[in-house]
Amino acid sequence: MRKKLLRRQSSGPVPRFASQPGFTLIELLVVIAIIAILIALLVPAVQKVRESAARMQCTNNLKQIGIGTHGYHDANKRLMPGYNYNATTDISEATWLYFLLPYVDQMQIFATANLSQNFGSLPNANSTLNGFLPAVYSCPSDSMVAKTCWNFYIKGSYVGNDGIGPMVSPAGGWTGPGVTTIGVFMMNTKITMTDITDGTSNTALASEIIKVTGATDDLRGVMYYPEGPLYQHNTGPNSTTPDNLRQDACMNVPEAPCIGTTYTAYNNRSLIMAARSRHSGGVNLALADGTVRFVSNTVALTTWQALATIRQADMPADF
Amino acid sequence: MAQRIPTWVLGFLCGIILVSSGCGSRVLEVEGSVEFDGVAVASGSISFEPADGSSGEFGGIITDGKYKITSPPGVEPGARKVRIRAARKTGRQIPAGSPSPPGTMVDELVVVPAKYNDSSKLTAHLEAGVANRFDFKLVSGGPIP
Repeated sequence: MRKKLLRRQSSGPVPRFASQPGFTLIELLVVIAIIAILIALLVPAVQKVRESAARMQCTNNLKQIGIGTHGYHDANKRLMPGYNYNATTDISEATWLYFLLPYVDQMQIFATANLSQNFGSLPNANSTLNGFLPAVYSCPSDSMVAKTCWNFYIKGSYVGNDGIGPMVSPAGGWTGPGVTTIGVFMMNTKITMTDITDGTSNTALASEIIKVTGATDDLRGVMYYPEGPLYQHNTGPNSTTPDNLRQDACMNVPEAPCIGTTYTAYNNRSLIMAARSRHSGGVNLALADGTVRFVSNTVALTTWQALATIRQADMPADF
Repeated sequence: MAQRIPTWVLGFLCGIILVSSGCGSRVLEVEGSVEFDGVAVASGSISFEPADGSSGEFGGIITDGKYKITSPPGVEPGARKVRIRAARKTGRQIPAGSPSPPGTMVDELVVVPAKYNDSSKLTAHLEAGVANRFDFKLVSGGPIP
C-alpha cells in the first residue's frame, strides 16, 4: 500500500496547475463561447426594451393628443376642424394639429400663427409655426429629427381620422360633393362628441404615420397643411397597398408605398393615406373617448372601417 | 470509438429545421397586366381586398402596365375585391398648384373611373401555392370586363 502511494506521488500524472499556470486554449475558447452566447441573448433583449420604451412614449403622446382634444371640446363645445378653408371667410387652411397646440402646452408656438395668411403659401408669417417640432407631436419609434417637405412644411407623427377616402376638398367642405364617408376631422367640420352617434369608444380619433424622406419630397405627416395631418381608413394599418398622393410629393418606400396621382393641387385633391408606424405588427390608435389601443395589422377590414365612421350605426367587432 | 448518430436522427432534425423555418408562413403570389383604353398604364396601384371584409388585404404598384405582388405572410386565399387606381399620361405637362414649389411641372394624367376603385366590382379568386394571374383591360366608358 505504501509502496503504491509513493509510486503514484513520484511518477503519476502531475496536477496541471502546479506545473503550468494559466488556461489552456480550449478553456479560453469555451469561456469566450459562453460569453458570446450570453451577449447574443442579451443584446436583442436590450433592443426590445429600447423599442418598447419608444413605443410607450409614442402611446403617451397619442394619449396627450386625445386628452388635449377633449380639452378643446370642453372649451369650445365642439371639436376643431380637420382643416379650415373658405375662399371668402377663411383662407388659412389651418389644421387640427394647429388648433390643438394650446391644449398640449404649446401656447407660445400657437401664438406665432397668422390666420389671415395661408398655411400652404410658405414662406410667410406662418413659417415660425413650421420651425418647431413639439415633442408631443413626434413618435420616438420614428425619426425624432425635425423633417420638412419642400423645405418649409414640418412633419409630425400623428394624423387625424378623416373617414374613408379619397379625401377631397370641395367648396362645400365636409358636406360637399365627393365626400363619401365622414370621419372626425374633415374640411370645415365642427362636430361635437354627441354627433358621434356610433359612440366615442367605437370611433377612431387619431393614429400614426411614417415620416418619409428621400430623393422626392413627401407630404405625409406634414402638420400644418391639410394634405399631411390626416389619414383614411380605406386599407388597414401598414397596408402594402400604395397611398394615393399628390403627384410631385410621393416618395415610394417599402414601409410606406405610394403612387402619385392626377391630383396636383389644393383644388383637385384625391388623397388616400393609410395609418402606418414603425412598431412591429400594428399602429397605435386613439379613440374618440381618449383611450389609446394598439391595433394589429391583421384587424378585419370591416372593423377598421367601422372605426372610421362617426354615424353609420356600424359597431366594430372586437379588435 | 465514438458512437455514430443514426442517419434517421439527422434526417429528423433537418426536417424539423426546414418546417420551422419557413414552410409554415404561406404567401400568395399574384401577377398580371393592366391596360387602360388599350394602353398599358404607366403607374398605378392595385389592391386585393377580402370580399367578406376580413383581414388579409394587400396590394402593390403597377409599373409599365404590369404588376407582380407577393402578399405578406399568413394571408388566406379566397375571393377578393380588386381595386385599381391608375392613370395614363396624355403626354402634356401641367404646372402643379400651391404649395408645390413655383414652376413645378407634372404629367397630365387621365385617371381610371371610380367603377374600378371606389365602387369597384372587379373580383379575383386567389389560390394558394400557385402563381395567380389576372389581366385587366379597363375602359373609360362601357361595361365592366
